[in-house]
Amino acid sequence: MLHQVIEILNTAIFFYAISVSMAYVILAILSARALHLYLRKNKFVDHNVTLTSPYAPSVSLIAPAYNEEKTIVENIRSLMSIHYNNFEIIIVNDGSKDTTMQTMIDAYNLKKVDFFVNDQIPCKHIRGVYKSTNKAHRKLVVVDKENGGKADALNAGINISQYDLITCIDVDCIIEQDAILKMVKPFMEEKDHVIATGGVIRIANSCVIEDGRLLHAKIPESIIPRFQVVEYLRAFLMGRMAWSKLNGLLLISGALGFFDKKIVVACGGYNHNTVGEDMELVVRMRRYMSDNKKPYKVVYIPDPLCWTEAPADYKILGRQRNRWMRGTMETLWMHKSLFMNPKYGLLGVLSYPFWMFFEWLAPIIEFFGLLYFLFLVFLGYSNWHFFLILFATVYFFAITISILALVFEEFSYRQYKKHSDILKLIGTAMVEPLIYHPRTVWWGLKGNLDKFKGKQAWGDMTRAGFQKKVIKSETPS
Amino acid sequence: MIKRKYIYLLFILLTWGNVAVAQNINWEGIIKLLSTQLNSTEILIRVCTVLLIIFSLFFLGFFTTLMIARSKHRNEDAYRKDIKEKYELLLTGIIFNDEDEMQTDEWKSSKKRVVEHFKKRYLRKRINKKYLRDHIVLLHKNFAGTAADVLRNLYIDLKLDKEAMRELNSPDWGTQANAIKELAQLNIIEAKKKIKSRTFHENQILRLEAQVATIAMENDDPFSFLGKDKNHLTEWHQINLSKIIDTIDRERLPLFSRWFNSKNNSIVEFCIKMTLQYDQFESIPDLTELLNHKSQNIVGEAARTLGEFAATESQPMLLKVYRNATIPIKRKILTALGKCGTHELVPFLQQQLVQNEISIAMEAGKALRLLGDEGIQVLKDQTNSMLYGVGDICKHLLDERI
Amino acid sequence: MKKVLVIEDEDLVRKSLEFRLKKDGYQVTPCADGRQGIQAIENGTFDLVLTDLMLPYNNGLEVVSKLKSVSKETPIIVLSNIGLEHVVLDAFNLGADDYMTKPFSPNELSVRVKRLLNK
Repeated sequence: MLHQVIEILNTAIFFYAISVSMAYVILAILSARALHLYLRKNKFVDHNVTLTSPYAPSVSLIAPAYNEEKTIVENIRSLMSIHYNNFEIIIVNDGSKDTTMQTMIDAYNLKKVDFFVNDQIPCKHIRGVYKSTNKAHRKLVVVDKENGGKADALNAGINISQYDLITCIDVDCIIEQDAILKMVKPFMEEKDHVIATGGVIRIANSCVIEDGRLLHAKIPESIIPRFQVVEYLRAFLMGRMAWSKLNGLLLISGALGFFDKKIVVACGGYNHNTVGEDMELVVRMRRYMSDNKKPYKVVYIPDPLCWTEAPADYKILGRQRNRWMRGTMETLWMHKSLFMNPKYGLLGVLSYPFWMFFEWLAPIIEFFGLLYFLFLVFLGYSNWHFFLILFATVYFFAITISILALVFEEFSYRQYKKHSDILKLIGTAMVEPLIYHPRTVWWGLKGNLDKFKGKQAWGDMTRAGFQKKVIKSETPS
Repeated sequence: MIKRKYIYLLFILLTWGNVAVAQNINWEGIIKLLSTQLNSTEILIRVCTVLLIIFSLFFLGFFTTLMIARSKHRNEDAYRKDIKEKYELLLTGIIFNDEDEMQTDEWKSSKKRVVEHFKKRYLRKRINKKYLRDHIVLLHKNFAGTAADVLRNLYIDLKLDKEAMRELNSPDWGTQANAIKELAQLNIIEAKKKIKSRTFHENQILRLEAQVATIAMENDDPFSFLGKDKNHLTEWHQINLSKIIDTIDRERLPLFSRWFNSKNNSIVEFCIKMTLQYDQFESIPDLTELLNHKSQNIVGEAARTLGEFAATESQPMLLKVYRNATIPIKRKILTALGKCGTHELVPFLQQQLVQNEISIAMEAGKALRLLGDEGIQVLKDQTNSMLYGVGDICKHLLDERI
Repeated sequence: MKKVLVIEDEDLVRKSLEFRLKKDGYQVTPCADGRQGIQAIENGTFDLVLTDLMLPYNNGLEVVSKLKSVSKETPIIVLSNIGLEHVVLDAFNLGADDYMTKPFSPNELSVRVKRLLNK
């Protein structure tokens, strides 16, 4: 009897592993095609046309700031040098406890103005709206509001924004100067109604950063961010590219995303009640469009446009992953009616179940799979032969996929120029399944536990800050 | 480019190798095992072994690809950098050294020398030609006048145009589109017939490049495609077309209202935009008529253009259409009324300001502000309005810093 | 010898400008981005500044306003591929003395530079 149960469980585990692998293989193939086409299409595109055209869409850039007194001036300055003409920069001071607000007022000669706030989406009280007296900073709008969290700050920014396209960014990210030019293109170019575009997030640790600009991309010196480099390449170049091709993309990172404001407002803006507000918004917008039977698209741009500093120690990284897991769970739960609902098309029958099985449940299944084997060992039932060979297969599959992601990078953007970089990345990819992956499983599991215990808080993301690594450039002679 | 093919070949070989390995595995045996009493774990082990071999071979394959590609790319980068510096020096020298003395005999002989020098030293390799072409195109984009002529002459003297012409026949749309772009930038007239034939190509990007190039080069009805193109002109397409139209002589421009009755709504929209861009006031009656068009986008564009033209005569029609319009169109009409209206409109706009749709109130307020003293007085009067939002909107509009 | 500061991020164009202006007999300081440009303005004096608009770090408008706050008299020419009305107006409002759109004729530029320097 027990023997048969074990047989069945073994088979189940095997098939789960196979289906995960197949899913990744299919995603990889789709990504390769989508990436290839994207690169071909954009090889000779002249973004100057958008830059110089009076018909280019106007964009409101919204960046929430919370306790950023050390970096805010620098960050705003680098946002202002973004190459685009029809745009405004809205900095939302989310009730910072430090001197963020005063720092901005002093640095940019801000004056409070009689700004009419169209409160189309609810948000905390707005204390005031400021504009610069210097005409060179005409694009800048600063909003001072009571603290209400990131989602709330973004909603306030949406209420202030004048234009039809909004882009939400993390103020401490390094945004490439042609980011807006590249990200608005799908809105102009696609025949279908594009409701959102998302950008790639890259890891900025150890990169040479000067005054808010990335000069050289380098492989992070320490191993933890290095794991994340491989992880992000895989997720962005392979995963999301394929989902974008299928038009089934569920997540646009909070660090860089463009949205059609009309739809965002119609959906009620960002949700305050989840730690995964970025994913939740995209799912809700998709749902809204499906409910109203309007054809739409969510597009994803593979160019490296946004660089962020990744957590460099396991504790902070663990908190981040824990939060991601909770965000995923909350989003999936809020929209549970999508599950296998043919009314929502691909979103219901493919994207949602995929996220559920491979993002939410994967850590749980993996963890229990492991427990199960330990249990077998304990009982003396284990078939070591099977265990080892299954393990080796999964391992080789994992590193094959990682290295394929590196191949994609090599044939597309090649951000890491040195010869040794590639060897470092391969090495990282080879140890990742052994050292790093078990931890992500554990964090995912903890996220599940915390969620069921009812944890809400964001958890502090302490950043090492770019400050330390700023290298002064030589003054020109 | 050629080398990349080898990499693909390697890919194929490796895949094929994997298949061969898989074939060597005794499939019949496995099937036999499946059909006999063997327990499932045993089968799983065998399947896993096969997979393991496949994955590890793929891993090795990708690894090799990666290493080869990396060293190839690095060599390319180094070479490109080297050649870039040489070209920069040479090209800037050519453009500026002789800009003033272009007509002299000395220049002509020195030009010959330069051409020979280039041919001998740099153009033996295919890749060099490609780089040089890119460089010339880039410089040509930035310069006008004599400098541009010098570049163009050099381009032709080096027979680089022939290369680009050859690429027009490439089966690859990307190569073709790139060649079209280049030929149009350097105004190589011989190519225009071939390019014009691509203006209806099924590939959107190629079609766009061909249309852009045709507008730039063709004198004989360059806009004829507007009457025939059934494809939707995306905003991106329109921006590109408008950009190139901006560079040609005004005398060559047609009256865009010619296509206002096109069945392709996107073409009508585009033509309205062009009517505005080139101040074709004579189309005002046609624009007014378009206010009754079925497409909301067209109505919006027409209203906007009438506003920009300050076409007071269209005021009654705008007001008539306003009544049954959707909110976004209402907003556009209000903006237009602000620009083309007269003080008689003040009561109407005031009425729109105090109704309850915020976005409309905002536009009505802006329109009032545009109407001058009388309108501004209304805004000032309303700053203390008890109605939701109205007072704040008025304050917002009166604050000159925003 | 008159000193000219050239701020332009496109390598080829910057080198061409440098070449041309040197040929006209000016002493040229080339800068590849807005930050270098602003530093140069802070640390030295120039008889004329030539700047692009879309630059890394600090954009051309910031360069214009910086120059005008340091020395009001120094003429500045904006050289950009953007011909949008509001951008041109912004540049003039901030104190730009001349505005040229690309593609530009180097001969014309040379004349404009000369005219501003002789004022």
